[in-house]
Amino acid sequence: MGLLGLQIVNGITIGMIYGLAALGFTMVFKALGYLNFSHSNTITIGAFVIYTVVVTCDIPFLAAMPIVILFMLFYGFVLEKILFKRFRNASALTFMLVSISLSTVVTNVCQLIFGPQPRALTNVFPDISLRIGGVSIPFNNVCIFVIAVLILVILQIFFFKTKFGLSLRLASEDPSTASLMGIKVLNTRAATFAITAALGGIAGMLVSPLYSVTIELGSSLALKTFISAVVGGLGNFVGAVLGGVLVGLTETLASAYISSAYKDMIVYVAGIVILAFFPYGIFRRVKTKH
Amino acid sequence: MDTIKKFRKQILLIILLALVIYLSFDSYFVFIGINSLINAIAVMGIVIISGYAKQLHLGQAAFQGLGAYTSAILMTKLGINFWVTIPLAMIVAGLFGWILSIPTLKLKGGSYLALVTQTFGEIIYVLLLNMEWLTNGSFGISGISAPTIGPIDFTDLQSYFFLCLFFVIVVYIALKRIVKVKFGRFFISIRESEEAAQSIGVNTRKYKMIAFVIATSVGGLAGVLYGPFIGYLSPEQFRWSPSLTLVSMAIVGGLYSLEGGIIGSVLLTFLPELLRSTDQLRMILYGVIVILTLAFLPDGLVSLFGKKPGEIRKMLADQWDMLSDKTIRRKKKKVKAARAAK
Repeated sequence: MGLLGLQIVNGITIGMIYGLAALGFTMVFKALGYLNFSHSNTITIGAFVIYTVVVTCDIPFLAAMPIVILFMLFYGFVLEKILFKRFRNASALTFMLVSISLSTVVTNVCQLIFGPQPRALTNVFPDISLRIGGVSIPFNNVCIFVIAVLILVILQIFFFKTKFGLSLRLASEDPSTASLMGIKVLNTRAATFAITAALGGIAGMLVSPLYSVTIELGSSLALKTFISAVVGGLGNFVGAVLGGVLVGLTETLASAYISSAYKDMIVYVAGIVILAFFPYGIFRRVKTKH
Repeated sequence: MDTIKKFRKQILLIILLALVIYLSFDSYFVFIGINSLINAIAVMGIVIISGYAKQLHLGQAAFQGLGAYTSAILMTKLGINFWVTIPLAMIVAGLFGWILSIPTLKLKGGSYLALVTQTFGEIIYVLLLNMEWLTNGSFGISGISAPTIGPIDFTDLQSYFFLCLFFVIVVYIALKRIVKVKFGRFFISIRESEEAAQSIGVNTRKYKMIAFVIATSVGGLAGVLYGPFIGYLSPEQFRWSPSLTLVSMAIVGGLYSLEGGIIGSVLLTFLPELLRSTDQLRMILYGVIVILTLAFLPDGLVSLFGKKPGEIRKMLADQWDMLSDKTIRRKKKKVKAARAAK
């Protein structure tokens, strides 16, 4: 019972991280109709930046978080203004290829800058565990969960209580109508990329106390991010987070009870099977088109 | 014979290119030459599915791996002749392609195929790594012997080079035939507009699936040739980055033509070797080249052939205007000028 409880807690924790990353991925798809394959880089960059800030500059983790978020917002914004903006009239195929190529370039540039050796970000949160109903939960996981929920709440407030959030939502639903309403769609695009980069960066930041920080961090999480977004339905925000939790749970339970060597494969195959039967995600009621 | 006559020019070009590589008499160049020819076969598969049917395929190396492992296992464990394993490996790769195409290709837009093929690459990697009783896991399969036909032995690099060249030409002619007949027209109609193709009665799902199965089985063939050439197979060789390299080759050469695929694969196999760059720099180079190609030559290097320098300059200038929003700015200026005149 204790083991199962711990597995479920771990699964939900890592799942929230997948969910945050998947949210960014799905947001770009909803706003632009493209898949942004370079989204996985933001996870790596987020993890490396928080490592640099915390270890090299000796700033506490919680204080370092806003710095990283600001950096990631800037990164996404610059990327859109320099590169992605130019391909906004291109076909989905071209955009995907550009983002994939960009992803390789950024990954390898990161490797040149930071080197291939893995780093560990330890003792971020106090090493204690809480006992809730017979299950001892590491404080680490609680913190990560709380931060992830907090980020989601802030995002929710931003999208539903501010005017800019409203314009972002409108622009992603229907860009041409939005531009008729006086919304600068180019600016909302840049904001979308900035926010998604920040979400990826937050995912990388939160995963860094759990896994070691390496160049492959982003690419190892990338496929699970994609699967989370697909399970939740591409373009569905709530679905992406729930899909992430589901993927996290599947992964941890599979590694505990089936096989740790095949845990990734089980997640991937399950994702493809779900795509076959629920192409619009499992959280969305099927809408029939008349 | 008729077909060979038809594509005389292209085949001559390929042979000429091959001879130049061969005549350099440097075994290192011949080695890279074989590599580029094997890549060319795999890339032609990508051209069929991504170029002609416009569904992005990001897992060609995984299918190459399936082909290579099928052939190698059959040869080393069961002692089956190399030539017999070729169709078997192609069938295995094509079968997996067919299974993958069921959930993905009924959906429009090609995004899902991109995601699923990338995921499939990782699935194959995990399988090859962990099914140790069959694939030896991370130790890999070694001791794959070179094929023979009667007295001819393909052990040395030079003769293997011509074997690969033969296969490149066979695949090229076969795919060129497929593209020229009804099938190929359907692929192109899907590329131009899936809705329009459906409206005139093209079963788009079926033809996308056919294109994908062709692409994957060609990938399997490339894998079969890869085994005896390197003589050693490990799961790492068929992971994400080789798949990406193959797609880059297709784009740089020209995603929409088979010749482009061959040119791209020869060029991008030789270029990093000539620069003697490290793996990281090579991947950065690939990425930058691909982005620049997509920006300035969306149809790849083949679109430059048969054009005068002036035309090329104009084409590039137009493309630059589009990228830097100059056309929009010019329009705005015109509108402003018109208003001022009023």
